[in-house]
Amino acid sequence: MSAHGFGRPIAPEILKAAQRGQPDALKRFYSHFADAVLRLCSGMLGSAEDGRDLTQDIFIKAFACLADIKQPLAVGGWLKQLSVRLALDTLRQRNRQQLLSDDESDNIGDQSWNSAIDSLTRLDDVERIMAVLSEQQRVLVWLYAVEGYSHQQLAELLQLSEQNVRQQYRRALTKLATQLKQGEL
Amino acid sequence: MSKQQQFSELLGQRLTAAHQETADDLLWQQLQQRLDKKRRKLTLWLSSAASLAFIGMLSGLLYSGYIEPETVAVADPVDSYQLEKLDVAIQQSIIRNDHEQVERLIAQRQQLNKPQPRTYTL
Repeated sequence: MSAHGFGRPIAPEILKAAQRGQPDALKRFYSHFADAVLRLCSGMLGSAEDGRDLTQDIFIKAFACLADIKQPLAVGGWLKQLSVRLALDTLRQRNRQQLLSDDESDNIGDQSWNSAIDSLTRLDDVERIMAVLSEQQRVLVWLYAVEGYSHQQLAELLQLSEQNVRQQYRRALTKLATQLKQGEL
Repeated sequence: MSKQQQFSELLGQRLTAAHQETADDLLWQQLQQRLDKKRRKLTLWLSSAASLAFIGMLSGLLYSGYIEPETVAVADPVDSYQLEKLDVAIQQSIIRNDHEQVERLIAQRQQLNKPQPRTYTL
């Protein structure tokens, strides 16, 4: 939970003052977590502009629910969960989630992985390769590889079976590796 | 570690490095504007609700069907005119040095000024 600063503890007095709605404390709360929320949103949505809009939504929601927080140490985790949930809701509302078709292959050999690793290391703009993924695949990759969610946690979050999540994640990686290997990007 | 896992870890590192966005002051200002707007809406809603509740209560009181008694006449226990007459008489008796008359009038006044049981008529 420490990725991108969600795990940074916030001073209890700031949290208490923010829970009372004091403007200065709300701004300090925001400053403490804003970068982490913005990166997560931009990463999951694949757009910095959408990430900024969603960050505002998340903090408005968070400020309204702050009074429910009893443990200052749990705030980061709570805010991360809230951010992920709202990002998923945003994606669902856009109705742009696509499932992988069954005919996509999820097996490539070690040689191909080596080649993909080399290409990824040399790649200037990693976001260019991420564009080949569907939004659901992007979410899986972001939450697993960047935010440190496990397959089991992702399965609960996305209401899928763990096996399905594993398979989809593998397919997403295979898709990226295949594209890199083919040098299409 | 499998090659796929290596690829996954490297991808995570590259994505983390690629996303180093920072929340600037403009973002906070936009957020603050939205919060202010929300607060104003809430205040407006609450004041409207309070006004409606007040009007409702007032209407309820005015048109609840409760009939006030048409008249409530209270018989004055003290006849103020008589008291005034007695006061004048007492003053005149004092001027005349008629002590007996003064005492008699004072007693009469006290008797008249005693609280009487209140009577109501509808």
